[in-house]
Amino acid sequence: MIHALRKYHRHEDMFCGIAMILFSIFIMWVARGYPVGNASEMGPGYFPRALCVIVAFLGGVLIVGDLLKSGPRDEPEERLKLRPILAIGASYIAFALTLNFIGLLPALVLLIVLSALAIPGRKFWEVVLLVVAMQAMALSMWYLVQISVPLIGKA
Amino acid sequence: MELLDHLALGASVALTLNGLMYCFLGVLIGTLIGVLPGVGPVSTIAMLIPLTYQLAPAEGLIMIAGIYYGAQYGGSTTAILLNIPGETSSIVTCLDGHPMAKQGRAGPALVVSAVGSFFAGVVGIFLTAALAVPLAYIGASFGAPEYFALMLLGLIGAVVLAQGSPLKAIAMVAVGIMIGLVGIDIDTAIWRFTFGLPNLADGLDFVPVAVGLFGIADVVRELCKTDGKLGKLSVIGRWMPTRDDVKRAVPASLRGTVIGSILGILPGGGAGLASFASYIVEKKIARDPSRFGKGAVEGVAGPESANNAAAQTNFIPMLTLGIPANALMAMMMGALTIHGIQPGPHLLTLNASVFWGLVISMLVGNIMLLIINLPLIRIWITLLRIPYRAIYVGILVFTVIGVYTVNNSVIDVYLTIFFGIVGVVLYRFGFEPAPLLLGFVLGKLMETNFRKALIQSGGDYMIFVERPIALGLLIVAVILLAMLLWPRFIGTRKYMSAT
Repeated sequence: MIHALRKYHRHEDMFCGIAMILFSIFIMWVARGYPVGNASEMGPGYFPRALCVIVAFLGGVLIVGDLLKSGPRDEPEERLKLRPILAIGASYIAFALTLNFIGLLPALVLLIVLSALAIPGRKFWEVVLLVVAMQAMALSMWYLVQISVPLIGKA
Repeated sequence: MELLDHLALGASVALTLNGLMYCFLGVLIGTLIGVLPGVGPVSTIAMLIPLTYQLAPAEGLIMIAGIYYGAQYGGSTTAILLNIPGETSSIVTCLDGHPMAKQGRAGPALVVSAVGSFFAGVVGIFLTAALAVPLAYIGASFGAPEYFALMLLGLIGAVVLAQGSPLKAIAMVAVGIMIGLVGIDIDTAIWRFTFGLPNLADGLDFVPVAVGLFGIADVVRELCKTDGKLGKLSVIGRWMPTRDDVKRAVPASLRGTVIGSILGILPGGGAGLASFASYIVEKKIARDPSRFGKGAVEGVAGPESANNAAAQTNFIPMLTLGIPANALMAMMMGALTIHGIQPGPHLLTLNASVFWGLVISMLVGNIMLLIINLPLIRIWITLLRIPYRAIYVGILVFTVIGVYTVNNSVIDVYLTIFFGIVGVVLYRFGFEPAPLLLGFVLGKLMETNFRKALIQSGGDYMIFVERPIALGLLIVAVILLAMLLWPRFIGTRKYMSAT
């Protein structure tokens, strides 16, 4: 598994190119019903299709470039870690799901606790402190910006 | 003296109690958030746009502009003291600013950077005032083909002069335009890319896209990189620059101002490019180039002046022609549109008071910043001690409230996190989100002008080369693209991305 991943690292541009082509095909498919028209009377499908062709073409160039490239490749600068992505994603989704049922402050507690878990080794009291401080900030924003959601309780 | 009348009109907007208050609030909040480690100007503006909703357009814009240049000042402070560039334009400041700080010369570095920025900013503002009317006049004579060519040039300029793979950047522009096309097509009333969601009928809102791609994605990327641990803070020590420092800094600052002012106006140019160009020039003409990277004061004064001059002159093409040069300007343009103001040649006639009010407020704001930054720097430094593991939670809370209040809808919260995660993945594979944002902001306009031009010509593509101005703009765009094939240019570009 790890071995397979490394190999794929090396052909990153090829992977990107394939993704671009697939993306263009997907958009073409979504736009399949939009009339294209012709150049003098362009329909809503003309411009999107032209863009898809450009993206797919560039994807093709990336793939060819990757195949022609030999020797060692640069390590990617950015690295993905699952933990922050999952924790922060979950924190926003939890907030959006619950906001209208339990009110701003409780929904924010969920957001704060979940997003705090994005980094390892949090102490319990640290999270409590964060919750208290952030609730105070949210409260002052609630007064300042006049948010139309109740602080606590169903909307 | 028409210019004086304009400036007086601006003063009547900006120098009111409200105007001054929102300007001060803007630069204060901008500095505050810009100083926070790991938070640059793009995400700062993305986060704070929602705060200005309730304000009148002029006041809202004065405040957002204040946040914009306030955050740029703040970014230099983190670059010097912590060696953390908040954005591309302060990467260069790190190179010599942080070594200066390590040698106990953080004080002079901060002073030189603040005074240089102030001077350059003021020059940039005067250029904006002087060039706005003639440029808007030219812009007003443009028809659909010229506009399309101009937008294409702006986008290509942004791609060529940005970092990373140009192929991927062009693809991102195209994807951005597609995202801009989401919603009901005006001519045929057909719903495009809405996936049946009524919320998307009016198009994707600017805020969730921008906040997701920049605010949220930045937080997640930072956490992926560092687990929330940041570098060590330098001690400031002595304040005043020595006579030798001043003698070196003043000419560097002047050169930086000229370089920055010019590069800021060009399509695709911006603060980041300006500071790189200035640094390269300073290093080239220095008697002893080996001092650079080890705390040369010119390496701080030049780039810092250059990036501030460019940050101001960036407004010229955005406000008068409606062409944003970089992600920051796209952000400002989005903010203007939210306040019901369409940037472009008609801005000066339709919203003259807003435009000139903005110009005067920038002048006032820069003076305020000088005061806020130098004597009060100790307060900002205490902010630098807040660990990122606490800051990022604050950013998320702040952002989620802001995004929600735009339409009072949780859909925007979902969209924000969607674009946030998409942004993280895109970054990982070398796709920069900045060109995407530019495409997104210009998308609908580009399509409309493209359609109009071809209706005008009866479907003949030659219209883009038969009209001299359109042809000229397209030729420049092609030259810019051709530069990508020129080995020396690629070398410089790589060097820029490497540092």
